Amino acid sequence: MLMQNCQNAAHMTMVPKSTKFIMKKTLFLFLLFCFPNVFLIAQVEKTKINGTVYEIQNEIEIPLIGVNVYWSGTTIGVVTGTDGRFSIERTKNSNQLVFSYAGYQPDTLIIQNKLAEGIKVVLSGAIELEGVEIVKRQKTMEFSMIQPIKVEKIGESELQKAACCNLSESFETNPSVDVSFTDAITGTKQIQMLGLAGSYTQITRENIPDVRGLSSVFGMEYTPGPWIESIQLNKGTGSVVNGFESIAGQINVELRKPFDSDRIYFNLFANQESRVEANLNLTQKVNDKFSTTLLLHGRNSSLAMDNNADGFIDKPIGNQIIVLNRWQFIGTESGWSSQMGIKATVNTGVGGENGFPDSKESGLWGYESDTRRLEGWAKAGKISNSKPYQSFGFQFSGLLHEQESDFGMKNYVGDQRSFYGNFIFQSAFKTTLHKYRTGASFQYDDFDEKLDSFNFIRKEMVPGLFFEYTWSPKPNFDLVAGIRGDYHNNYGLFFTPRLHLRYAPFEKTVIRLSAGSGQRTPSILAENISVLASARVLTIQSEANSRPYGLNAEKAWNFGANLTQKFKLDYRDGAVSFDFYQTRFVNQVVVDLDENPQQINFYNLNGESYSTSFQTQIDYELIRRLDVRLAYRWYDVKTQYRTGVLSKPLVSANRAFLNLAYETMKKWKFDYTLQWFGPKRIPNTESNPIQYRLPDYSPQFLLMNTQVSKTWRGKFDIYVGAENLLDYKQNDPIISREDPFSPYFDSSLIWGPVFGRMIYGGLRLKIK
Amino acid sequence: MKKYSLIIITILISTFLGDVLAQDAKTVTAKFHVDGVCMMCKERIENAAYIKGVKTCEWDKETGELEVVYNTEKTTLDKIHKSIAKAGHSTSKEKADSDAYAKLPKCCAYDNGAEKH
Repeated sequence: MLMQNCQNAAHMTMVPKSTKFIMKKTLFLFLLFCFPNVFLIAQVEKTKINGTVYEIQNEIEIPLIGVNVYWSGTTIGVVTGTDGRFSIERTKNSNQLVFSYAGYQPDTLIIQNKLAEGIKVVLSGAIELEGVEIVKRQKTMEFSMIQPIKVEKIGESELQKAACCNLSESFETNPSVDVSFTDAITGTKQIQMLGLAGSYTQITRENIPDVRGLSSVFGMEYTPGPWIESIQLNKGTGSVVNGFESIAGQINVELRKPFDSDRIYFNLFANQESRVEANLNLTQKVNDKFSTTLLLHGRNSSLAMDNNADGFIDKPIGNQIIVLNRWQFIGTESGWSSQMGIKATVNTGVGGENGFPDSKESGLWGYESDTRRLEGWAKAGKISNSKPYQSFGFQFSGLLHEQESDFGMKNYVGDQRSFYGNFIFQSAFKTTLHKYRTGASFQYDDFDEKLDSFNFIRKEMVPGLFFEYTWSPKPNFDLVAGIRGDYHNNYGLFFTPRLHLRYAPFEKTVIRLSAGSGQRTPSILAENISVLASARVLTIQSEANSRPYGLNAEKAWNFGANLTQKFKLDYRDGAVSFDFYQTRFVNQVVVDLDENPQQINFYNLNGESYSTSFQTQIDYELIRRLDVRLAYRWYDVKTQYRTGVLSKPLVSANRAFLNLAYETMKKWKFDYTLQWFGPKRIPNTESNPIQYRLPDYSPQFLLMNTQVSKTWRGKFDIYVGAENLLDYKQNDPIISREDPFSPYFDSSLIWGPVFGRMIYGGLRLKIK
Repeated sequence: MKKYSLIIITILISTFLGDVLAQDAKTVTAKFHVDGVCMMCKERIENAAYIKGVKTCEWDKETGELEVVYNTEKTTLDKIHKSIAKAGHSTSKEKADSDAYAKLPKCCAYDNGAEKH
């Protein structure tokens, strides 16, 4: 719990908001020790320790009554009185003072001899109202009722519903994110939010930009699932504190942390395609202030298989090794905390026509890819001792990325060097009704890409300043207004305003509104790398040589409205939500596959481009221990191409989703997901010879996934599952597969599953 | 938008009705004491209390109070007491089944000096 300090200082989440959600019992329950930040202003007497336990509600400190305070491992304990006060005799047997509340996991403070005076424990802002439900059974996916920005929190148990191998596969049970294959060669899955490509979603690792630039598509695979502690997902614009790049949404990934993790966590996964993955997480607490975690991941696919009999290997064979080491420091007395980490990634893959990996024969169409990445980051933050609402923090990260890929005759080499720094100061005007966060950031990117004989070099330097004001006049109302000004060395000065509003007219009802802009430089080659798995000729209509690829920056406005209604029906909890978002591009780099099936064209938008999305979702515990999630979403994504207005290709306008999760008392878990995808528009192939033409629209189809797992003593799990149980496949996903060197060859027009049913299994072992 | 607001209203009404309907005469809430000391006990007690006819139940570790909502036509309070006792936890009415108690993990042995933790 203490480590939350660091994140707070380093600006991890939106401002933690406390609330006066009236029900006393609820109040009680959600002041948990599970999420809140514990600020400590310390002191001690010689024989007795006095203190007070508070919760901060807006500007008022409210004493907490009935908190159990006891020395760890002893029977010496007291309970806080009506004013939240306690007084406890010191003991030689322990220096760990445990605060436990209403049956929750206790939290521990280390009491040092030199400390004087009384202890003040402030349990501030329970971040999740859903903390309430921890008493019963923890929901695997949660909607916060009190954050100004609607955040879907995907916890560990949700992630385990689909023994996901990496981040790109972590959204299989989430209706807000569409996951699809990019092509029939590389086996890469991409995500989409609000009907827009994944690159419009800002993906951060603990609030430091992660998947961007050259790793826009493959980068999702460099975060192994067993490393993930939780994912926070929000649609629409995010906070200005995290930069200007988010347009469709933000996905933040929290990795396992040195102070929270099991000592040993081991995961083994294998599937029928001969993919074997092993993960080993090791955590060592050095002392009460230092702790470290080593995360190891290895993947191997050794058998070249062609189950869909298209003459091409379904998924590349090869290896992936990722190593991450992180350190965490918590200074309880000073208020300082810091984290740092380093991560190295090596990924190789060989695919293409059957027989290519073994022979590397020149007559065969082959795919080869080799990526190496090195990343490092550090964060530090300090919470003011006298003003628990005041803190400052900074974050730095650096990245070296090298990638070389061959697609048939095409050769792509990309290098990226990036640096990011962000300094944030957080405080309040007079009272915590008026909070603010302000600071400065710097982003540096150096790209060097070669596609055959063409060389694209760009250096981007973007210093920026930001200010974000949070107004919380009442427990049921918040307003967050942020603005940032950044100066881009190619595009000049630009401003990014963002506004979020939360209003809870009733206890179980929350309405949220958001509006704001975002800007980004598209890495057009890396983001569309799957097109290299076709004979399409790349054409870029450059307009200004001084700009990256000669194109403009992408800029868009996003407006969103959301309503979440919680309810209790027959003593069981449920929630229903409605989301409406619209993104309007001021400028976009249009990716045009339609104009000519032998080309991919990139040009600046001239006209309108927008995405409108609507989603509704119901979550309910239908019978005890059986959770049902039903969702439906609708998109209207249209762009003005040179040839006319067309809807975005390869995206379903309609998708429906059903998830059932049942857990027995003996810890058997059953999961079932059924998805229906409406027809997707297929890019125009009319000018191709008749045998190489595709219909205008794909058929609708169903996808079904299921998984069974069993846990023993909370330590050992075994899971078995099947993806695409109905064995539905896109037939002939590759155009001109018999002649891959013809001008009609195209493996990137993928609308459905490329592989059939896939059975997998694995185990997890935890040692505390 | 009109359509959506209609949907929203319908849901608001139905949830309200749901709350009302759930509180018919056959459904009663009872509270009694159950011995136990930890979160493992809590899980065991609640699982045992969840017999047919029980709508919801929650055991408070600190006070030892179990609050249970059940349908009087489908079950009786007696049955709930018995089910919990059978799982190894003494209630205000029923003494724990001694075999079941003996099988409890050490940390749950509330009669043999295990403190609340």
